[in-house]
Amino acid sequence: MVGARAAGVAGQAPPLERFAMAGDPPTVSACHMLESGSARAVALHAEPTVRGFLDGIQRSRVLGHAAGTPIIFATVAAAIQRREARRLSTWNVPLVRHLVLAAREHVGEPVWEALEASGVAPIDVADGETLPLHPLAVRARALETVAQERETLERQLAASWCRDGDGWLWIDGGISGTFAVDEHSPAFGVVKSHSTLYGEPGMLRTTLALSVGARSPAFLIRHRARRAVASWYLRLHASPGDDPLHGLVRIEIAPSAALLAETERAGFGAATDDATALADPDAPAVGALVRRVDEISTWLLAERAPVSLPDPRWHTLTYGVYACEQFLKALIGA
Amino acid sequence: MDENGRRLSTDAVPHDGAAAQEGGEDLREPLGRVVATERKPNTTHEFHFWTAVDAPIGIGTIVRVDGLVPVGAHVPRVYGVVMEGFSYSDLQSPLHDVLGHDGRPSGGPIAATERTEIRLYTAQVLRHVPDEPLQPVPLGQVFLAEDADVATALRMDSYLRGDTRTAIPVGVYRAGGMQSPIYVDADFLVGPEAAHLNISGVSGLATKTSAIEWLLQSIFAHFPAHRGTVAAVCFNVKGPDLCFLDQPGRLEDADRELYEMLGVPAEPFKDVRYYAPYTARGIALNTLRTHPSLADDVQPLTWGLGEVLQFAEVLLNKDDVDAKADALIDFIRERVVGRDFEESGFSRTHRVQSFADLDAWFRDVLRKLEDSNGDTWRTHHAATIRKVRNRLSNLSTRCAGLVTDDGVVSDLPFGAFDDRAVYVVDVANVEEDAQDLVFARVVSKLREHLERRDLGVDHLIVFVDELNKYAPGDGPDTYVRKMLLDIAERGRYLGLVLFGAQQFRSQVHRRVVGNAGTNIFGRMDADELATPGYQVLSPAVKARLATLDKGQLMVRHPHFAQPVFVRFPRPAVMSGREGVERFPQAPEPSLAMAVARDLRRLDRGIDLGWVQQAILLYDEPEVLAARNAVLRRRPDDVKAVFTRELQRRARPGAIDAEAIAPKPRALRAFAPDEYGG
Repeated sequence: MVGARAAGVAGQAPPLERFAMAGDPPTVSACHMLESGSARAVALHAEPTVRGFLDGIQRSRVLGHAAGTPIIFATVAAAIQRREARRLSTWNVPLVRHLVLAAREHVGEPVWEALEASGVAPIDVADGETLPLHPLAVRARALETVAQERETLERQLAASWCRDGDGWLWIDGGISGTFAVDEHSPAFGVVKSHSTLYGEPGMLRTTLALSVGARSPAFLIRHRARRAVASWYLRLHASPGDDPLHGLVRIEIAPSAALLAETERAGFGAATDDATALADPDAPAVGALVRRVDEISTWLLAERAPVSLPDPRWHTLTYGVYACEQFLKALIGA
Repeated sequence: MDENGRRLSTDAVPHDGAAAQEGGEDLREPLGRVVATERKPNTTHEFHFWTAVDAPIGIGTIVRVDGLVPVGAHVPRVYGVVMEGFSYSDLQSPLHDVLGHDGRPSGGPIAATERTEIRLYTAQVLRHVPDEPLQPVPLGQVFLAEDADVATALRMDSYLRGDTRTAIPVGVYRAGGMQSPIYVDADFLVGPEAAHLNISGVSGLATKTSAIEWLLQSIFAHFPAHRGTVAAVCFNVKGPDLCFLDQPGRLEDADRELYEMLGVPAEPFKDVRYYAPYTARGIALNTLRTHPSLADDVQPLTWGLGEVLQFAEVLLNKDDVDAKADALIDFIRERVVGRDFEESGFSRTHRVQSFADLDAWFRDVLRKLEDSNGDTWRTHHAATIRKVRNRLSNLSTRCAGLVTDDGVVSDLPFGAFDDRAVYVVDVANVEEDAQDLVFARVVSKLREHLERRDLGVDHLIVFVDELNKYAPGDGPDTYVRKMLLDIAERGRYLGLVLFGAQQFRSQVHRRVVGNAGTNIFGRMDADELATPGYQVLSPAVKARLATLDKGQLMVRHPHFAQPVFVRFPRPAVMSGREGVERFPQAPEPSLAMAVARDLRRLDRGIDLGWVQQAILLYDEPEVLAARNAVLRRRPDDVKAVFTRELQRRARPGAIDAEAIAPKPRALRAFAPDEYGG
C-alpha cells in the first residue's frame, strides 16, 4: 500500500489541508515600535527589483487506517520562480519530499514494520508524546508535522538563494523561523494572513485605515521560540467595502545586529508586551532600517501587476508567488 | 546550407530560438510536448502539443513526435502538420485583466511579470512509424521536422530514391529558419497512378499562372527518362499571360537559390511554339505577341471545312441541330467532304474542300430541289437543307480568322510533338465560339494521337485556365465540358493530363476537380473558403489560405496525408505584363508585310519588296486567297505558286461563273416557315 503506488492511491482522497488547516485564533500581539508617527505614503517604483519568488506547498491524504488510526501520505514541495526579462522560470531544482506519517503507538509494531519494509521511512507523529486515540488528533498532529517539513524545504531553498541567488527574494510567509535569512540576506517575507495583528490600539487603527500605497511605521517583533524580525504593514490594493484587511500585507525582514543592540539599549526586553516603546529615531541602525523599509515597500507596490486573479487571495498574493504555487501544484499533481 | 547539410533560410526572422538553431545542435532539442486530456484527447489522426511562446511553430509546420514507451520493440514516431493553434493565459476572465489595469488599457500599473501564456497546437497526423499497430498519438517530445523527417512524413521517401526516382520538386517547405524541398510523385502528377493538377486562387496575384509555369519547368527538368517523354499544350485564354514563355524573367537571389536547391535551371523554356488564329480581316495573327522581334515565332492556327465539320457539335447547339439536321451533317461529312460528288441535275462534279466549295454544293442541291419542284432531296427536307446550309455557312463568319472559307489548314504538329516542348495556343482575343472550337478540336486530336501512341510524346499536359468557365459545375452540358470531363476521368490512361486553374474551385464541375490527383491553392477568397468544399480545412488553415503571400501555395497530393504549405520561386520566364511592356504590340501590318511574313515561313528568301511588287495589281481578298492556297499546298517554289495563284484568282472562277449564270425560276416558292428560321 505504501511506496510507489502510494501517491496514486492517496491521490483519490481529498487533501486533509482542505478540512483541517484551521488558522490560529485571531489575536493582537505586542511589538516594539521602531518609528513614530502615522501612516507613510510609499514612493512608487516603476522597475521591478525583486528577482525571485519562493513558495512551498503541502498535500496530505489518508492512505488508510490501521487499528482505527489513520496512516497519512503527504507530499511537500518548495520552489523559487526566478524572473528574467519579466518572465518567470524555475530557479535551480525544486525540492519535493514524500512522507508517510502515522502514530506508531496506535498502529502497532507489525504495521509499523510493514510500513518500514515498504521502502518509505514512516514518521511517528507522536514524536515521543502520547497522543489521544482519536483519529482527528492524529491527523491534526500529522498536518503540523507536514507543515514543519514544508517549512524545512522552504528554509533550505531560501538559504540556497541567499548563498547563490542574484537578487532580492520574495518569500511567501514570515521569515522568523528562517535563520538562513539574516541582515545581509537579499530576502524578505510577506505575510498575507492576519490572524495575529501587531501593535497597540492606536497603531492598529492606523494600520487598518491605511490607504493604498501607504505603510505603517516599522516595528520589531520578538518571538519567544523564533528569531526577532523587523516588520511593517503595507496596503497593496484599495479596500472595497472598507474591508480593513483587503490588500493588506505585513513584511518581515531580518533586523541588523546594530538595530537589535539599539533596541536593547532602548530598553526593549527579550520578550515584552510593551508596545509603546520607541527606538531612537536618530540611531544609525534605525535610519538604515527605515530606508530599507521604504525601499522594499516600493518594490512590493511595483509587483501589484499583473494581479493573480482568479485566485481569491489576489489582493495580497503577488503574481510571482501565485505562479510559483501553480508550478508546485502541477509538480506534485495537487 | 549549414555544416550538417541542412538548408537554412536566408530570410528567417531572427529570434532566440532560430538563432540557437543556426548553431545546428539545437534542432534536435524538443520544441514542445504532447499533451492529452480527457476533454481533449489525442487520436490516431490528431494530437495536441504545447511549445514555448517563442518556438518557431506555426500553422503548416511539420513536426515529429518521439514516443516515450516502446510498442512492440519500436518506439513510436509520429509525424504531423500543425493545423490549429491556441493561445491563452492563466486569466479566467477578461475582466480580471481589466481589473489588473484599472480599466485603462494604457494605464494602470506596469506589469512586473508577464503572465504565464500557453501556445497550444493541434496537429493532424501525416504518418505513423511503424504504421502498425495504429494507435493514438502517444505522449512524447515534439521536434521540428528536418529534411529526412519531412521526406518520411510526406511519404516522399518512396519516390525519392534510386533508379526509379519519380520526384518532381514543387517548392520548399520552410519552418524554424530551415527549408526542405517538397516533391510530388510524377506517377501521381502525370500518370498513370493518378494524374491531373488543379490550382485555385484569387485573380490578380499571378500566382496561378506563375505556379503552372514553375511546375512545367520543374517537370521538364525532372520528369524521369524511364517514364518517357512529355510536352505541354497551354491555352492562353486571357491577356498576354503565356505569350513570353521563351523570354527570361526577372529573378531575385532568393529565387535563384530556390532554383539551385530544387535542381531546376533558372532559365526560360527552351522550346516554345506559339499558335494563334488570324484576326477577322485575315491579315495579322490575333495575338499580343506581335512585336517584330517575336512575331515570326507565331504560327497561324487556321482550319478548313474538314477540320471544323468534325466538331460542328461544338458550335451548333441542340436547338439548331435536331436529328434531321444531324443526319444531313453526317451525310455531308461522310459522303460529300473531300470526295468527288456527282449527281444528275447538278451543274458539275463537286469536290468539297472548303466552305466556299460547300456553299456551291448547297446551291446545286437547292437548285435541283427547285427544279424538281420537290420537298426532299435524298430524304432530307428542303427546310432542313436550308437550315443546315445557313448554320454551316455561318461558321466561317462566327469563327473568322480561325476557320477559312478556302480550307487552308495550319495546325499544331500532331504526330510530331517534341519532348519538353511547350505549345502555346493563343485564343485570348478570339470569340467564345472559336475558343470552344479550338479546345474541342485540339484536345480531341491530342487524344486521338495519344490513343494511337503517335503524338510524338508519351505524356502531354494540357493547361486550361478559367476552368469555371469551360467546365462549370452548373449550366448547359457543353461539348467542351464533356471533353474536359473525359480528360479528367480517362486521360491518365492515355498520358493526357489536365492542369486546370480557376479562381473559384467551387464553381468547377466536381468530377473535374475531384479527379485531380494534385490540388494546389494560392491565396483564396474568404467567400470561396466558406463553401462546403473547404469544410475539411481548419479555421486556421483557411485563415492562412486567405492571407498567403505571392509565391506561397498549399499543396495536396495523394502521398501527403495532409496539405502542405510550400514556397516556390518566381518562374524564370517573362510575365505577360512585363512582356507587353518590353515587347509592345506592333501595329497591324500592311497586307504586303503580313503576306511576306507568312510566306517566309515556307521560303526564307522572300522579302517585303518582292511581295509588294507581286500583289500590286490585286485586291486584298485575292491576295489573301492566294496566300492561303500557298500555305495549304506548301510548294517548293513558293514565289511561282503564289504568283500563279494570284493570276488565277484574278480571272473569274467556277464559283463566280455560277453566280453570273442565269438560274431557272423556281416552280413553287417555299414558305418562309419551311426554312426553319
